[in-house]
Amino acid sequence: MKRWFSSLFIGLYLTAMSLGIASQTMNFGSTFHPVMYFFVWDMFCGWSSHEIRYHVVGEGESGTYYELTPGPWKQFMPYGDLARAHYDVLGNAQRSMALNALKRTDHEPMRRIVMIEEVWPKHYNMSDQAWAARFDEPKDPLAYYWQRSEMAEDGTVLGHVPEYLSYLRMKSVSDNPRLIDDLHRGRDHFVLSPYQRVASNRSDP
Amino acid sequence: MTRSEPMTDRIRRFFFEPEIPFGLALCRICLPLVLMGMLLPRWSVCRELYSSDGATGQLSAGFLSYDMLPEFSGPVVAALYALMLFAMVTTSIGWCTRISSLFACVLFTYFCMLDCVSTMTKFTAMSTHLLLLLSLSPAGSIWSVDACLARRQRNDDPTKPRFAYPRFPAWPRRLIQFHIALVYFGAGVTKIHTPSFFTGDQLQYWMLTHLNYRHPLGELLSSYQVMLVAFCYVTVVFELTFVLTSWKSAWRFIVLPVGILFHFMTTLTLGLIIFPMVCYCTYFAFIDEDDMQSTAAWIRRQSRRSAWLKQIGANLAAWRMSADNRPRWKTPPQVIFAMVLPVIAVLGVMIEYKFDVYEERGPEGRHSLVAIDPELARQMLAPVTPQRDIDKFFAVDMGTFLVSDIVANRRSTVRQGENVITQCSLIPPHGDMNIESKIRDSDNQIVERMSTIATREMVRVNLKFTIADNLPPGDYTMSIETAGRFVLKKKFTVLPKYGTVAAR
Repeated sequence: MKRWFSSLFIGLYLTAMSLGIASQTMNFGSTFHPVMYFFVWDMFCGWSSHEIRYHVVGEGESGTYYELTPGPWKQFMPYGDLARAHYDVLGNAQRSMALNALKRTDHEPMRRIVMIEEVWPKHYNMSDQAWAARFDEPKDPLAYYWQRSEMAEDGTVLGHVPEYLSYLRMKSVSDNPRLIDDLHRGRDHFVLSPYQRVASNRSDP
Repeated sequence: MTRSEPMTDRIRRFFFEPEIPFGLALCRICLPLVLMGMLLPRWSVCRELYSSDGATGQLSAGFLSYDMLPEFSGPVVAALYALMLFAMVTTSIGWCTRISSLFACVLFTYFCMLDCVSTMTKFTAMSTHLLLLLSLSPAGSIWSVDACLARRQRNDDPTKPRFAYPRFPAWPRRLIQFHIALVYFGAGVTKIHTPSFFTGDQLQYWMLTHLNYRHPLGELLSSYQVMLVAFCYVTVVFELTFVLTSWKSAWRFIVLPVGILFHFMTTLTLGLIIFPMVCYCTYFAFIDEDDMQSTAAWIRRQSRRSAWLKQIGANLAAWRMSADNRPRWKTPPQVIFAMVLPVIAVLGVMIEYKFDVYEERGPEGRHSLVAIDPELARQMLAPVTPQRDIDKFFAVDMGTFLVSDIVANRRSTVRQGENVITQCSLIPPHGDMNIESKIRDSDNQIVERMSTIATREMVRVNLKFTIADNLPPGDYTMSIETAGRFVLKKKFTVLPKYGTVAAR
């Protein structure tokens, strides 16, 4: 009986691992359930060309701006010298981090809470020495600040836009006048689905 | 093994052949210690990371199924976290090993899934597999408290070992071997799915990322992209073939050291620390009885040569004898284990209370929010600055030949008559661009001009030109422009052609 259970477990385990690999290889169902995280081994799923830091800022009724992540207590740095909020790439926990900071501190009423991305190209991460060895230009880093979403004090989301790099990607496509022209050409005015009832802003020829 | 042996028998022998679980014991001892390296720093903030009194980030949120797991209050989490730490320690020392490792596995998985921001990673996912497999294995049957407490089979025959280690089926060790091999295979498939991996760009960006621990060697190597491309291919070949070559064959003695070196390099170049150590723990599963016997024989030979090693060996043998002759505990160890658990839980709650993660119980009471510098706040909340042209260019390099479409010999001096390649490395995402290169002499007169189009998907643009024989030797500047706007410049020197009088 013990041997039988062992065989069953071996079969189940190897099947689960193989299904994870197959799902990942064929790009099918690899995100259908959180448990797939334990069977899909996409360790190198793409590293951005830009370094990104995440800030959550609260605007008080007096017009003063407050830092909500990290909270004003001792910071936890999980993998080096960066606070936890900077690892929240999907932005799933920033809201709860901000609300937690408001809950645990004394503060004036908040008018709004803004989630901001701070983005810069990664070659500015080179040390001055490495930079000087490769570039004739002086190092002149600039961080771009992108407001990703806005919330009320109680956490109600008031507005949300895609991240800065998606914005750049979309901008590179929408800079094409011919494509934009094609986009509006032949668009129907009336569609049964209420989500698609968007009238063209130009008259068709 | 004979060639005539049926496949079913071979598979049965592969999984169920009895063996002494040396490799599993090493894995059991080391893995919890490695995981403690990440768990202990999180102890003081467990309320913030994992409880309803903090800010969790459940793994399920990324899969669009919110609140999959229940969240408990701070004290409950403190107790559970302390129990998990205790279970890790008892797994390592091998006290009630099966229960400990199962307990550690369940709680570790739970806490990881509660915090996908700063706890859940692929190495923690691997660790949950390993803890589960260890809980089903006889890893605690040797080199453990359980083994010391158990009655040992004494053997008085002087020609045989004094103690007969117990033997168990090999399947848990085999599954750990399969686990790491399939993890590598999956990682290799991911890289195949990522075409930009093979250009070396992604590895270069990873090496320049400041998210992990410090990795100065990564920054240094990121400038040698041809080498990175070679590393990329080696990595993929290693990861895809590990599942075939890591078993007991001559290849094993090549593949396993390569794996050790590979992970060590990820520490130096990418700043990964816990991940390589978890992988090293899985490598213990490749140690079998033959390996251990040959290692033990080597150690014995060495100890015979060294007096102090001999003394240590004698002391260990004496200690083992005395431990074996010590009277056994009257209370079953499982009962003591169960009695200790509530004590640990209460201690955990008390210690976590002392940590005071939000610093609310200090002399100054609750914190006030920290105001941001108004100038910084103005910058942060202003409409986004239009992207500068220079931020679309990673670098501009000059050389004379390409390897894997990368300038392989960066130079700042060229000779008359040489074909020169100017390579503009672009930072994605960028729009379609016209890139113009102008060569100016020391009097700022344009002596050469080239232009090309970089479409949005391109990450590299090569501008090729020949240094004409009539271009006088001297200092020149190559300026890169887009849409008539200056972006950056590259200085270079033209030397006389080889074989001319001036070249001597």
